[in-house]
Amino acid sequence: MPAPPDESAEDLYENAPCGYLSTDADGLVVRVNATFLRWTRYRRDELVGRRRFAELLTGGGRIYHETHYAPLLRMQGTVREIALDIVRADGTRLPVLVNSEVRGEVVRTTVFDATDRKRYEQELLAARNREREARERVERLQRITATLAVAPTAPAVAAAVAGELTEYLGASGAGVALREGGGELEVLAVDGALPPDAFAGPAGYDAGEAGGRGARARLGPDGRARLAVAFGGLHEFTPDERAFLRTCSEQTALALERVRLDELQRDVASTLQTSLLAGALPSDPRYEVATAYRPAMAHLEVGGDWYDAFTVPDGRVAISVGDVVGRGIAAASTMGQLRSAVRALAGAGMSPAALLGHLDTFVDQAEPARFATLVYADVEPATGRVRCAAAGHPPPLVVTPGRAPEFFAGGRSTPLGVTLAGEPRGEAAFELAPGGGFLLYTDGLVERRRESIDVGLARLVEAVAAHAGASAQELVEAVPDAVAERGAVHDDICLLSFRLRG
Amino acid sequence: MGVVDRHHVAESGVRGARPLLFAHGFGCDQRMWRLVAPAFEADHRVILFDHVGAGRSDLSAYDPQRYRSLAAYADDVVELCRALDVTDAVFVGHSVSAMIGVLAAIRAPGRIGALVLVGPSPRYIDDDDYSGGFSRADIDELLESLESNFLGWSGAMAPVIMGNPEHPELGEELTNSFCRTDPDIAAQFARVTFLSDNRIDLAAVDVPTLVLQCSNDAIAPQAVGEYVHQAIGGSEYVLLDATGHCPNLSAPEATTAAIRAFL
Repeated sequence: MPAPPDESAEDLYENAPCGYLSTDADGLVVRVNATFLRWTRYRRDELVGRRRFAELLTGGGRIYHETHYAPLLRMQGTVREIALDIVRADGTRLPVLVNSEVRGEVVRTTVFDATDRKRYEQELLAARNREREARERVERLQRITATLAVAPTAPAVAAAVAGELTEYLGASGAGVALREGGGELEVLAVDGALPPDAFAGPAGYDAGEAGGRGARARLGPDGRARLAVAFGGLHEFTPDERAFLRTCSEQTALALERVRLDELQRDVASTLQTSLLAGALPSDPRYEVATAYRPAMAHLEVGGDWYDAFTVPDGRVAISVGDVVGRGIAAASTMGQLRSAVRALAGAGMSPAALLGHLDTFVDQAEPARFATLVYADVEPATGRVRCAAAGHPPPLVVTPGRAPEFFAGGRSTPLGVTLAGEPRGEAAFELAPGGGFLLYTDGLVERRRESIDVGLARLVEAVAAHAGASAQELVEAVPDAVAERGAVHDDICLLSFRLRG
Repeated sequence: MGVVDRHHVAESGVRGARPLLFAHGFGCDQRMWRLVAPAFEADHRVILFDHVGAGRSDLSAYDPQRYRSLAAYADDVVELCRALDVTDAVFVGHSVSAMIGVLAAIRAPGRIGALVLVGPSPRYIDDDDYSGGFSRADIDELLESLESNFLGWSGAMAPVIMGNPEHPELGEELTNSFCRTDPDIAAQFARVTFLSDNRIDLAAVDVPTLVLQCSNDAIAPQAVGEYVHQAIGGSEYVLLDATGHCPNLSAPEATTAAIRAFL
């Protein structure tokens, strides 16, 4: 059966529902169908023998053609479903999908109009990008929340927020200010540059004016904390950005409130600790006592270390240095209880071992004091005899003139409240030479991260040896500098030096 | 995973002979050299590799922070030379790898003893008095093309491709596998490649260098090839009668002959 007139091979080629072109080995167009010409608005003689296929593409499409399309065609002999934009004769773009096949010396290429598909794909891409942005925004907020939860001070909170805001918004500056008790605004942190009046005026968003002032945003959820953002030029705040700013502002207010409460608590604890440790040390021409307390740099909360020295009715000097587990108000008040208990028991003339035994009973009723460590010693100033008991605490360092300092290993036992049933606390005694003394301290002095305590103890011996003949006061001042890690003390240091005058 | 596996290194030829390192350009992998490299196996140690992020390299080694500039790719080449104990190698770099070779030669004198730059361009974007052939807008369009052409890459196949190094045939069966790249990596590599500017590095090259230029190259036009030749003192310049940016595929015999004459 003969084909109908409009189904001739020629017409099938020329008016196919797709563009069709053939190119030679150099990529030059050697044949092209009418559909392609109609779509691209080129005349046949503008293309055949004159233009390469790649030259009909956009600049970016040309690179893509050279780096992907042409190599693929060489390697596989065929390429399918490549999305490209053809630049029409009038400069407009025609999004197409292209298939090519090598046929001897010639490459045959079919071109499908993909205008609608491209639009649809762009919508999908835009949706994907929006989704990615939303995800990034959530991740950023989570990061900010996590950072704010551990920021130790108000300026640290403010600096973290300001930095995130300029980065996220691409703003020229961002900052956080605080109004204390209805007074002046105090600027806590600024990242980048903010105009002087950035925090003034009512809350809101201002897109800025062309040639005039740049865009601004001011927020303050509780009237205390205020957040300001500024741009050098115009900036329309998108709904996403506004939502982000609102969340940031709420998180900032919460974090600042938390910091304020923390600081309040720290102040209370520190006052409590200072008052508990206050009180005059015994003063006697036969001996000298000196103490030092250095709070940890790494913690803002006070620790539970203590020192104490006092005379008891029978003439002895009672001395204790100890350390309660934990930090803050709880640790400070527990320390106060234990220190008072030691005073009460010592005043009753109790021996060191008996005193520790009573403290074990005491911590059964004062649970937070369990696991506390301490050294208790009493000294007869007339003879230099020292009775000593240490509950889980580093040993006293005994100083004898003309000899190397030595740790006293006697009278050692477990921390408070962890004794074995029926096993009494032990004690031991040593004699001080005229001019000799001893040093008590808490573990903050000799412990460092990633280091055996033996290394710290050796360092202490060395430091004390280097200060032979020093007074008790000179020793407590010099030793922490020589022994403790500079600038990175991670635990409180408490020390007490006793010395018989020579 | 060692450096050699990271780059899917394929070695052939004569052990102990002068090493020839073939580096592929943007958009493809080491198979780009399959019509050229075998011609040197009789008298050279032939080393093929994929840049991290391309071909069958270890994609997990691709750190977007690290691969922010061509310098990272050059560092990789130097590391590879060390790992393979390569000295006085002839580095044959196609397209962007020409500049990677330039940077590597400057970084590790002794490791790379000669450079063959195939279709090099130190700067793709036009500047005041420099014509690289492209505008910034062209590069943005390229990124758009990459976004709409995830060649042989779909979310469903990605785990198969990346997770089965012991079953490479799974990847082989995919169409367009030769140009297959993680779309995010492709986009970043495109940015790094086409926005880089290595013009000032050319003067620091002090090893024998051959510039292989195609007569009709839409990516690296003749004027750019001549610029590279002028900038590298004492370099040789050969103009190949070939259309396109890939003479290693379109004119392998002429490419091989030119490299051989240079050696």
